[in-house]
Amino acid sequence: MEWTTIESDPGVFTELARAIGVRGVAFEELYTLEADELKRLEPIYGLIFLFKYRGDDGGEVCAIDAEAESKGVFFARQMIQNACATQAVLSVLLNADDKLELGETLSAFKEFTSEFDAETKGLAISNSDVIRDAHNSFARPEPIVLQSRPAREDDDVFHFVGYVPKGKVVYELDGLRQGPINHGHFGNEDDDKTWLDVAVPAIQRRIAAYSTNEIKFNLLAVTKDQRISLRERIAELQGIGDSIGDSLAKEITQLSSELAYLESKAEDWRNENIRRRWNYLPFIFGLLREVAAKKQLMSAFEIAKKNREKGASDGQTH
Amino acid sequence: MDSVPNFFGGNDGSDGGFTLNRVDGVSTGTNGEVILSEIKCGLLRRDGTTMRADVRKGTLRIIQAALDDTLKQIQWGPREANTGFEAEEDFIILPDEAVLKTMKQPGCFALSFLEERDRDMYFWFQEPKDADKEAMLMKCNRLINTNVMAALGRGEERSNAEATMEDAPDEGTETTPSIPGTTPALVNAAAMAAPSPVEPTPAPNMPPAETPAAPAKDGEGMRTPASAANFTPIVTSDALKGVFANLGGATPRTPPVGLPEILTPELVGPLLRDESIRGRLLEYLPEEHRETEDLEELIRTPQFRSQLEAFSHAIQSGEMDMTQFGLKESGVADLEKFLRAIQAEMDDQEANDAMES
Repeated sequence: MEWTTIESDPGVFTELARAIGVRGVAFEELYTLEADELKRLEPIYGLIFLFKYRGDDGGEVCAIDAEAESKGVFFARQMIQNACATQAVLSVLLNADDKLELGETLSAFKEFTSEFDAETKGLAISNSDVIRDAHNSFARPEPIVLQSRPAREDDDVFHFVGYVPKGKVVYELDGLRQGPINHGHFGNEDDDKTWLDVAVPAIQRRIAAYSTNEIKFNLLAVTKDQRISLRERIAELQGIGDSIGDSLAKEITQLSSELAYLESKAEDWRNENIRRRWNYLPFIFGLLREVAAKKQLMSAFEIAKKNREKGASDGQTH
Repeated sequence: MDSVPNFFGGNDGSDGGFTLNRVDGVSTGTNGEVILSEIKCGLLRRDGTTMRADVRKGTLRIIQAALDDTLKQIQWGPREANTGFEAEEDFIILPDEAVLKTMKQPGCFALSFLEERDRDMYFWFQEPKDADKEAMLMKCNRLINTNVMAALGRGEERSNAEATMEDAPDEGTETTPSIPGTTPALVNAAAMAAPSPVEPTPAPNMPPAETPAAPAKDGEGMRTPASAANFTPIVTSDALKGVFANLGGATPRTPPVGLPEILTPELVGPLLRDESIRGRLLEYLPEEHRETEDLEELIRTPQFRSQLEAFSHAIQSGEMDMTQFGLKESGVADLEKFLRAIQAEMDDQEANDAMES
């Protein structure tokens, strides 16, 4: 019944969502919150803010919106640390189900848990075999388990927080808090604010606080898989046939190259996921044997040792 | 009202002097104290570099402080039949002073004082096997921390630092195993977990019924090449060896050389371009990744390097025995020994091939 740690990588999350039956969704890493970049990625179903803990959370103290859940916001308390990432992904997806294809598993899950309180919803996630198995399938193979596991890059405590629009309100969903946090309204008659116009400043305040505390963070956008709409549009344009004008022909070229870029990125992610799950220990042994067969093994060791000592004596202590 | 299993009672069916009023998860103790959270657990005491288990059944409690109910108190005391709770450890805990977290050793958890390491306390769970122990710890953490994640982050940082303090094994020094029978380094917490009025005394040493070192999760998303029969579950050494061997506060020296510095792209690249070598290695790779460019790229990928590092750490950890690699050597492994053994094996093979031809 255990949840393993998984990498917080857009490629992992994209395939994780697919593995639990969600269709047409992609995760993108955001390096900037500039309007142009966000526009390029639209429609954005939600944002996930992830950060490594190094000290005090510089986040502002916010009040819980006690009405949110009764208005249909799906909120689950986080019950297991390792499930954190998946929990954040679910909190966005399950609140965006009017806009995307949740698939059988998650639709059934949402229905099943609709009357539960937040803690029980969290327990339902922890106990879901399908979700847990999909999550765990991204765990790195560990053919050797030591009593004392050495520290790894991905050992840091990550926390994930989701930002999602629902019913013209922007909510912050943090599994460690008691309930959703309301960051404000958008899309009312008297303004043309989008949900991002509300969410982005809230996130920027958070980032500012973390920068002063040197807390590392990442931002992911949950978007529509644009390959779908690109393919549709290209097919549409190609359907016009010979009477197509220059400007539309140009559009086909542009869209095709965008599509090609996205397909190659998806291919990269597929390969990364294959590597993540493959046990390379036999290969490593094979490689070491080949190096030994060439009589290069011990000399490589000696050289590496010398380099290490040299590095240390140059004042570069690890 | 749910009936509460009689964990505290003796054989005569008494309730051990506790009155449990389970209202909103908070109960009242015999002295009128407001108990906010309880975990059934035993004590672990550090003795040099090992942990000794106090075999008594006990309870860790967080209560509202008697003197000031805005403060909390942490208590640990033995669970004995027919007596009220008598705390052996009893102190006020200030917010964000300490955090509870599971330890690498299964079934154990620590109360880590973030600023005062020498106050750290360690426990072993005595809760039923299917109890949600993480949730219990988190509940307690929420009681004693205003910012649980920050506290866990700082606690994690510290324990990672401890875990990486490995002594590069000197020639002729072995990791001293705790001697079974004389040093009950760790009881099998799982055996103690069954809630029954008569609980067995744990044996001082046991190869745990549930091996704390989990064998490789084959079939759970992990693909191992079919020909890798030699390499399926390498389970770590006896649980009693090297338990908490890294505690002791050794200062980190220059870390020893690892496999990533030996299997560099520069060394490995030319080999991978050799067709016959490549041919021999292909079966160890996923089908999708058997082209030359894939191989050379593979060596540089984070996924491969991270597995290489992990394996390297395992060899250097002092917890593995050479026999676990299927090589003709024995004794505690280190990288140099390991590499020499591989070289020796290849040399033998070459000699045999030469004789046969």
